Amino acid sequence: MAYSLPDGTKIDQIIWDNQALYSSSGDYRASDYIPVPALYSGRLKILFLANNDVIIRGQILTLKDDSTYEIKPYISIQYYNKNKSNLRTMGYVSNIAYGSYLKNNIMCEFNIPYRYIINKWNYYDCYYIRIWLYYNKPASSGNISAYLIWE
Amino acid sequence: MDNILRDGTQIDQTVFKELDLRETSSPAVSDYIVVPALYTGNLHIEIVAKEECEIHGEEITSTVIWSIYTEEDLLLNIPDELTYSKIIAQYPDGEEEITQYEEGELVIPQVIPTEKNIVKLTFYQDDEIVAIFNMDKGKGYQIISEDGNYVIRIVDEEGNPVYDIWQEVDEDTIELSPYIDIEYFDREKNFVFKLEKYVNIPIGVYFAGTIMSEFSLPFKFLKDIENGDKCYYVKISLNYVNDTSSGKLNAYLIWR
Repeated sequence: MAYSLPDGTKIDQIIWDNQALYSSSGDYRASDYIPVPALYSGRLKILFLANNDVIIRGQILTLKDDSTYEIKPYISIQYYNKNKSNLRTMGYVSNIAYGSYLKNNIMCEFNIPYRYIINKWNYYDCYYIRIWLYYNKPASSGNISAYLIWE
Repeated sequence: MDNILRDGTQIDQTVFKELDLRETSSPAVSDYIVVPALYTGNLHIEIVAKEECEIHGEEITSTVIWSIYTEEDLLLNIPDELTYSKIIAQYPDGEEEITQYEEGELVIPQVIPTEKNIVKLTFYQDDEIVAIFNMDKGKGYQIISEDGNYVIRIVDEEGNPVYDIWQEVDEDTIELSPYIDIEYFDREKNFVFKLEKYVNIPIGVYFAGTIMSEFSLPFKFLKDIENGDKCYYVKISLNYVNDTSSGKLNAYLIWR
């Protein structure tokens, strides 16, 4: 189990540890509840790391002119209060570029939005989050990890 | 020049100043933003509605509307008279044989395990195609709306119903969220990398003073990019559809 990233960044919490993309039950992967008491500091970030050679693809739509459009794999965040009541979901918080990643490549890094949820919905009581990764499971392969870091 | 946000956050630099969403052609690209502190990981961008803003993204129309989609197994009540030796399902990303046998005999009714859209079903007897149910070409079926759901009614050549598949039909038009690209440059303003579609801005209406998007400037991934350790400037691009968007927004670089 990793406690720091290859560059020395300390890991605050492990969201997924070396999980195979093919092992999801559907075209998404959902995390457990992640306690984020420091959410409102604005310093919490999520980082996705490739544990081996990873291919990640998005949903492919067939358009009317028979061309195709690939929606990038993306991440949504669900916010909860201390009682784990669902407050709000922010969809499409960040995207992951589809394609291949070598071992230890960073696939995605983003901060957890908090000013937006205060400003738009007046939520000062978020305490847990869940991360949802949406992707095209049959076309994806490899193992990934996801970490919560403080920066 | 704004120096401070309403909540007291100090502004480091202004990225967009009263950007008019209707009048500015997309993508709206910022000037070079000097970011010597990029590698601290503490630089954030905040996009704020200066006045009431409405922002929209590109719309795409997909033929997936005529596919069958279900999280559950799909139960096809195949009539006995329709004989076949295999079924090939075409998904948007490929084809799969989904024929089921029990001790060498076909199982009727056919249960198709699927968590994906099915674009086309082709039924074979030996190597001969006996029926094609092509969901995106409008052949061999009728669609009847009923209570917000649809019946996909498979019909024969005379138009007589053969059997029905119930399925709620997906939206035919998808509006993609407006999104942000980030371009990285070195001290000489040589291009280093473009991070495309990094974050999305939710479609909708924002009142004056509302935060439309907040995100940090990512930097850790740059270690895998040639000259990724030499970035000194960034440019922010806001991609949206200006015909359907309106209002003015500001964007700021802040240190947190």
